[in-house]
Amino acid sequence: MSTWRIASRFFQHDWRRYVAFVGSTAFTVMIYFLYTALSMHPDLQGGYPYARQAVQGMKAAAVVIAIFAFLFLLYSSSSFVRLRMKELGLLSLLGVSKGQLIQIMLGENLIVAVVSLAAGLGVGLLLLKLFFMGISALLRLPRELPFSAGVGVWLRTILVFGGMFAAVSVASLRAVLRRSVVELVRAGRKPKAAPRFSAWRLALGLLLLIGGYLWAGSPNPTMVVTGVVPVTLIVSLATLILMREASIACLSWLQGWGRYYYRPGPFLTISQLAYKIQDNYRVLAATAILVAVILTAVGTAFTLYALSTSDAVNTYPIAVQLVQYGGTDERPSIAAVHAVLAKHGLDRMPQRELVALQGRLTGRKLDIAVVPYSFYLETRTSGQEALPLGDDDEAILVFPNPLFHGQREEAESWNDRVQIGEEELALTVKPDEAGRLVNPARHLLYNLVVSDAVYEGLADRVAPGQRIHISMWTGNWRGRAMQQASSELSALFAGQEKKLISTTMRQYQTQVTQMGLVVFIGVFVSLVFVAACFSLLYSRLFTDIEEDRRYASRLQQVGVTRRELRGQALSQMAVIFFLPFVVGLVHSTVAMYALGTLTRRTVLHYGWAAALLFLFLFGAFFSGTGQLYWRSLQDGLQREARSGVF
Amino acid sequence: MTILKASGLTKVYGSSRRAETRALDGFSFEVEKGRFVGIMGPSGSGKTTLLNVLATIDVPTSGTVWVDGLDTSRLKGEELAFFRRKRLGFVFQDYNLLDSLSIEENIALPLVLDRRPLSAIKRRVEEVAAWLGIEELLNRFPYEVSGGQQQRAAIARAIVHEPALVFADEPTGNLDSRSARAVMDAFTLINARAGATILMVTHDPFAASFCQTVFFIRDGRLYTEIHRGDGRQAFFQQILDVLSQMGGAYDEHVADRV
Repeated sequence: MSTWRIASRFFQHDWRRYVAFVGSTAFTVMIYFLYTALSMHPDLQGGYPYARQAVQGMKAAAVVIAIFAFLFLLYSSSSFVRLRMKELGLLSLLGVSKGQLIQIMLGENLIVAVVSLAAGLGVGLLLLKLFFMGISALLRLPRELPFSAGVGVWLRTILVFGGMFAAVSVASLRAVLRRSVVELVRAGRKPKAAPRFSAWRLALGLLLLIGGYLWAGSPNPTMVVTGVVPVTLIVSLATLILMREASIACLSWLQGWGRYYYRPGPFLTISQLAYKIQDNYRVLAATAILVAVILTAVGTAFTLYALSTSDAVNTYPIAVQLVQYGGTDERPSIAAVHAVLAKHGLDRMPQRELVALQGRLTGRKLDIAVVPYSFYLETRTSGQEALPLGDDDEAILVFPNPLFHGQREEAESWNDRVQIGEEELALTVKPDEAGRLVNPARHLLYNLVVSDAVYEGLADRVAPGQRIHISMWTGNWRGRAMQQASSELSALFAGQEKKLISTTMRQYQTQVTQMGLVVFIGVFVSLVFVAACFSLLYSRLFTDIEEDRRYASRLQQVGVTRRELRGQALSQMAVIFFLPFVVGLVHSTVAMYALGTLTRRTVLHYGWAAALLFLFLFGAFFSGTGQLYWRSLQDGLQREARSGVF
Repeated sequence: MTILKASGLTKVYGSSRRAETRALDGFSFEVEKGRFVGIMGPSGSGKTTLLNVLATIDVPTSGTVWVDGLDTSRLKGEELAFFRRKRLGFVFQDYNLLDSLSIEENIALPLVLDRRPLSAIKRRVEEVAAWLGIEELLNRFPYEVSGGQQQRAAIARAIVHEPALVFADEPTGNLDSRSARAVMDAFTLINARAGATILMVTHDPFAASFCQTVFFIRDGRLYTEIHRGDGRQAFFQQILDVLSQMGGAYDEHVADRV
């Protein structure tokens, strides 16, 4: 038998051990291929709006994926080699030379590399068209990206991953060749020393965790922004430390609780978990961190996407608004807008006319537009409470809603002077931060509300050049008809300085396009993390399969039933799968809280929605893997049963 | 009182007529309660098959096994597992202790599976460990103690739930002579003190000499049985005589093992 045959035999013999490794590598190859194909697409190198950002985003994402893939490959292959030490040791015991051993290992690695590259590239090629369709829709490209994957794309993917495989192979060769034959043969059955609990490590872990959480939970947005990277690192380290110490503490506490522990289920499950702590805790910590990253990324993407709707309404509260400056006849333009709306069946929208007076708040040094209190009362009907206005020398200053940044007004009221043309009035001003009254435009960002009597007095005296005529159409701003009307109106008034049109729809579209891209990149990178997370858990489970079979068959000899064995195996699996999920969820909830600080609203539910979605995926993966694991365990048991116990 | 009875046990391996092997060929015997019984025979004589069939792990082609008056072929699926768990104890050549459990927990395992109360478990484990002289080792793990100590722990596990029968398969096969002696003393002790019925398969005439009765098996049939008189030394000589009568096959096998 040639060494090549031996290598391929290994691959055929226990394919379940290779599945996770090959599968997740292939998946990573596929994602990398898609991203590279997109970022190197000839159509995107030129001028579409957002295309440059998109390409940059994709390139950054591809780098992240490549780095991550390398670390992942390194980890998986080292745990894989540990699994195989005994087999390789036996081969050299049987007289296989070092050269042949190297050939076998390289052959095996070559098979894995070729299979995962071929599978990843193949599936990637199949999905490429779909991917381009999706990205074209998201970027609202005028025409769909044509199918294109040049030699450069293929070459880069193959070179990057081929290089990684080569590096990883060298690393695993070194690991095997450094050991003597005896060490190799014994590697498989080295008993695991019982891990020792360390109180100071636990304290350190808790301290780091609390510190990280406090930093992330800070009410100061600047603190939150600067904390993103350090807090992630601190909390990751804390998770690694705590996962070990807390597992040891918790399991030994359970083992000490005799009445609970000395029952069939807990007895077997807890002792087995305690026995495997040393192997498990790193995987549990890594999975928890991955889950936290995934949930936070998807939760943030959800949040940004969802906020773009409410943001559009907050920044552009009026569905359609025409602003005309400087005393010309406003009627023709209003009629033109009306005609466009009527054309799309939108002529039933309530219409309102207002003349705002352009002025300046001299104390605060702000350009403002004066509007009457009656108008203020009309717009402040839905939800927000309108402030009362007492005497004629009182006024309300409506701030543009400070969303992501900007400072809140702290004074309850102040004395100020308003200047409109030649007129000047002394007023007591109260702030209102409950949101805008009209869409922003020149002079219209800050609105000063005065009593109707004062307003009318001013309106009579003001020069025509100071008057801003605002026509507003309110009501439903969504829908296909509005989309079309909105773009027609924009075209109609394009380039006009004294006539400005604005619609909520247009703002919404802009935001969705930008956010959609963020969401898209975020979700795609998360997918790679999901694959890694699943693969970690899967290989953790199947690395020990031989040992688990031995364990299960011993239990069976003592008279443990198949059902009890299955229960034991599954409950142990459930802990390994869902403990990191819960820890990851807690981390990501803190992260979402921090995002809430940045966006000035509660966004926890977006994170939890992402978690629920992920939980479904996770549950499906758990039951699938559980089935496979149990079947694989049973295969071994049946083999054992056939040969008898003695 | 008969605790174990086998009648006309036949086990045929292989499906086609030409490739068929008769591992057991009408084997019958009886074991009285409280006896310490050995089974010896050359390799290929069918003793492993016999032990598997008696221990309900393998199903005979024909014939019946009664344990404590119960026909074991009537037990199915989980019943069989429960039967094995409650009524039988096992001692293996490679100890088969669970690495994840301490010695104490290993011994307690059958009682835990039987859902006995905690206080009863603790009391019984301490009692049995004291008999076998391993009470100092209870908190250690299997990989922290010697082979002989592991085997004594395995014996403790096999008898802790007071089974009707203890099956032992080459219990001294992996041990040096000093440890083997300690293990055989342990078997003798639990046989005397706990009244446990023990059925041991062995190659080792020294180990067999601790038994009260030794059955010899050849070609799937009972060859002969001998009973111990007064001295163990004399019985050992008797065993060697029978083995040399059985001849060739056995010597070959002994040579293999050395």
